[in-house]
Amino acid sequence: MSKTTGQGALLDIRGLKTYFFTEGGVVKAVDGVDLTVRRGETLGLVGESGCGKSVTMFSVMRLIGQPGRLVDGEVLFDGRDLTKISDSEMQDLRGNRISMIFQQPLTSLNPVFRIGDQVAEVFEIHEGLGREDARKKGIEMLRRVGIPDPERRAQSFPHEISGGQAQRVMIAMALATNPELLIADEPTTALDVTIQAQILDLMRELREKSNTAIIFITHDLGVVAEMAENVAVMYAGQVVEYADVKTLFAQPRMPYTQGLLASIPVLGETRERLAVIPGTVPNLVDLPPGCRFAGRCASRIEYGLTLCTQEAPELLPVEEGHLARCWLYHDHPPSGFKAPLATGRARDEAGRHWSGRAS
Amino acid sequence: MSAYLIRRIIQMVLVLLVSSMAIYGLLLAVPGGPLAELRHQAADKKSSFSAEQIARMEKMLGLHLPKHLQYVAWLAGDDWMGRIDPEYAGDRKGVLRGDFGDSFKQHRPVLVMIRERLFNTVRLMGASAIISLMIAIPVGIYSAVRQYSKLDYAFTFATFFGIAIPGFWFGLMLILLFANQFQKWGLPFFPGSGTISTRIRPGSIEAFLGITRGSWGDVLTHMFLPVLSLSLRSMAGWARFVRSSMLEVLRQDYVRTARAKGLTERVIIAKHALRNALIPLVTIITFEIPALFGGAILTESVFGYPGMGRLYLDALGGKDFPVVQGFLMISALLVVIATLLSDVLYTVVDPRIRFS
Repeated sequence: MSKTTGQGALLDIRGLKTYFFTEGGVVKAVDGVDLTVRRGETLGLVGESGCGKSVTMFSVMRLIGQPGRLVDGEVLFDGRDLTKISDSEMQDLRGNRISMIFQQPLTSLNPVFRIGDQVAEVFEIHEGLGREDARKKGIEMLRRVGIPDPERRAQSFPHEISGGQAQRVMIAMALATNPELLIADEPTTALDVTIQAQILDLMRELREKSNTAIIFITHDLGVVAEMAENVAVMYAGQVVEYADVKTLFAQPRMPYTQGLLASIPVLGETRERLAVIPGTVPNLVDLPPGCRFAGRCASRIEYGLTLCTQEAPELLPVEEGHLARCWLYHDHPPSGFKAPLATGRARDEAGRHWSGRAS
Repeated sequence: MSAYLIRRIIQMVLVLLVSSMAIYGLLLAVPGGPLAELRHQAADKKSSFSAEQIARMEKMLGLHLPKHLQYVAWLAGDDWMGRIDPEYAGDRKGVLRGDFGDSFKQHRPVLVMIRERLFNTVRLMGASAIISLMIAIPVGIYSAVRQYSKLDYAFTFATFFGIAIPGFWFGLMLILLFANQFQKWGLPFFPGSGTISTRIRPGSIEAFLGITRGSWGDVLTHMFLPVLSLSLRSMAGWARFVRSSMLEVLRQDYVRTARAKGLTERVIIAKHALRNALIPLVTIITFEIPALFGGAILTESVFGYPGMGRLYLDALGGKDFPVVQGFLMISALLVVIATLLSDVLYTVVDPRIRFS
């Protein structure tokens, strides 16, 4: 259990494991994730495609379909373990206290129903409103998310609106019942840049009014910097680093996070080549022993560490409120291993080293 | 919308005009002309037709007219042709005015004969279509929602059985079991042919249920075996279709959204998924509409059922050209109407499709 686990948290994920039982073997898409979200907090969940960030959140919503299964762990929402409650209790929570928006807003809306009806449906099921009242509140929600002329727009079908408008409709649907938690799964990835900014503005504005906690799944570090208070970085089904957004961007500890940040192009700066992390994500069916990033890690070679390929590191504090899953910072008493960057001074050195690499 | 419909109707008229030429032209192209066979039979004294009767038929078919007028006379009648040449005057009104001529064999208007048979066929095909859908849709949904369950495998096996089995053979087996063997075993047996009983036979299902001759019950018991035989195939095909369509839809993002909204699985399937899954089924079903009127030639023959299919088969065999022409023309008309209906229905069920 890590320090991210807090008392009285809104969402507390402990040791979550979600595996997919395919013909090619067991894919460990989520393999021991711990995460905590306070009320009103915005958490950025970052990582490459396939690192398990979406699967983690789909597991929270219990939207994992065959052949996937949640094999271990707890998902405490407001103190209740969502992995243990009945389907109908889960249905009461979904779209009511926990909502979700998705990456492809246009395909996420049902093509044969009018958008007004799709928003109104949330009021019908969760607030027991009649058709007419639900319709009125649906139009009100469309107005709140900035859809112009909502009475007329409510009559539109999804194919008649743009992607940005569709994401507004999805947000209207998700926030209709003032949920305590909103999970946003790459909500701006499919939209063009100006629309992205509008959607992010809208989400910020609604967050301030409603005190909804948001988990923002993204691979876009720019979006994270703009939206999140805290950031969890995922790699190969595990959280590898956790910190508040300023610390994470200023002093990333885990070499993977450093690599991610280094790969962002910076305006006004000319580089011969864009920095990349060498290698690829390990096969989630047949994971190597030790640290999952070891095969791609430049620091491991730099510091000549052999433990990395033998023993898996734990997600442990490096500083107050900053966790990393890396042998650079943590000793391993059984083998007598001493971490090269265990002390503050060594880290400051490395920090300079890092900023040198970043710029 | 109305502009679109007008355009479509003009297209339909053109299609029908071309079909009428083909239907008329092909039958006329039979070596020796449409009456060759009858003339041959009359010469051999095998036929009931006398030379005078054949001459009258020739006149009726307009074969005495110049080639270019023959088709016009068939289409528009020759009752007005006296104005061109008194020689050409006749009493036909033409296909356009609903006169398909008289049957060679029965000496009755073709349209009357078709009308008699049409009701039998629509009843048979309609009942089979409705029963097939009522079974195929729930079976398809279940198979998709519980994919790879034991029952899904059972349904899959049954549907492949239904698709693979030849309809006429299955019909014969039904007669063998429900009509012949049931009678032998002393069980209430079903009628194996016809539309109503000539008399209520003791031990039959009619006698067992106390059904009187010529009543609706009598009609229904006669429909039972042919409907069963016809339903098997369409039921199997449609169930497969609904299953694959539903599987496709259940993978869609909007189904995930419906779940994320907190809808119950029942509402997700019955409302959000089914509505989308049935869209492609509409096309398939509307294309069955011509068959609804055209009948099932083999099944009607096996069950001795007096429907459109058998009318056509008998007319072809007996070289009864006016009946063949009438049947083909009416089929062509129904096909174009069904196509239009299918397009209109598409816009009703799928809001993404609009007339343009």
